[in-house]
Amino acid sequence: MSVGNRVLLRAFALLVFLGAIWVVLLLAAVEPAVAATQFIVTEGVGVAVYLVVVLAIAVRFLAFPLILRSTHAFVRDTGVGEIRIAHGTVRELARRAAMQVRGVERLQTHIQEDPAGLVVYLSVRAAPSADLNAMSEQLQQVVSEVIRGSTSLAVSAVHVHVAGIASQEPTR
Amino acid sequence: MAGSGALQAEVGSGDMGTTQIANEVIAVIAGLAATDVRGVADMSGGVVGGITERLGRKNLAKGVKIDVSPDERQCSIDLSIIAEYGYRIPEVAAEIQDGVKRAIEGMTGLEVTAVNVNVLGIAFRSDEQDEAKDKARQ
Repeated sequence: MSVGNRVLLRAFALLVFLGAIWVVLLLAAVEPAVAATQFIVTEGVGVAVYLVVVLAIAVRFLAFPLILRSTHAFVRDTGVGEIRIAHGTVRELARRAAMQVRGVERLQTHIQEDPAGLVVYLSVRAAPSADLNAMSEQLQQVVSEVIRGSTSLAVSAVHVHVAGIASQEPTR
Repeated sequence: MAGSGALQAEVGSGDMGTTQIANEVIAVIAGLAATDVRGVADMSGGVVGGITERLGRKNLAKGVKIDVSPDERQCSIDLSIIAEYGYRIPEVAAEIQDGVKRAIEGMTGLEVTAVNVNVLGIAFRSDEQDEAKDKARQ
């Protein structure tokens, strides 16, 4: 489970726990809880925010697996069955390879399919001292090699877009 | 994810009675065979599978979906995996297909018509994790 999902899950558990405590206090007719509830209900915003947040997290967890299953993938039939490599997997590979290149500080990756193979788009934020042409050539070479080597997919192009320059040298 | 269908595989019947194998059992066999292959970091059971594991229940059928044919003699398997960085994914997937098919056919007698492998992510492991996994395999 990713860090984001873990945080969301903990937040969800905490919200449900607080909601349950609140209900228990109300049922026990604890005076401050009753008074606070009357205030919140009168104001309306607090309850609405609570419900929206809980509902949003619940929908996120219920709907996310369905969204995941519908992700695009590169498909190959081997006779025994299909091998589907999700676009996200190829993006992760490209990202990992690109981050190893000297001068790359941050980047975003995007993948597209065309008849000749897959096309990788890299949007890079470079280090201030980077030789941009050399960095770009190395990115094209490394990314296409890693994707070809790991997935056997044909890479028709790796487009590099230098979107920005960092103001300080990276600390890594 | 596993055992989602109501069908179970009936692998034998005779004078003494019938033998049925639950989809969950087939899914566990497939899951174990798949995770045994080098280059498989984990099975991908989605967010719900992750929550289940965090609650302390090891789910051996995570990321496995079984479809048993109406005549209960054949099945097809869908596996969702996380591959390890540094391995060739098509080779890993082909090895999973062979291993899963062999394991299910060998243990249950069912005919496996297809083993579909979905590679949903890549895991970048540290050297220590690699060593631990290699030791576990030995």
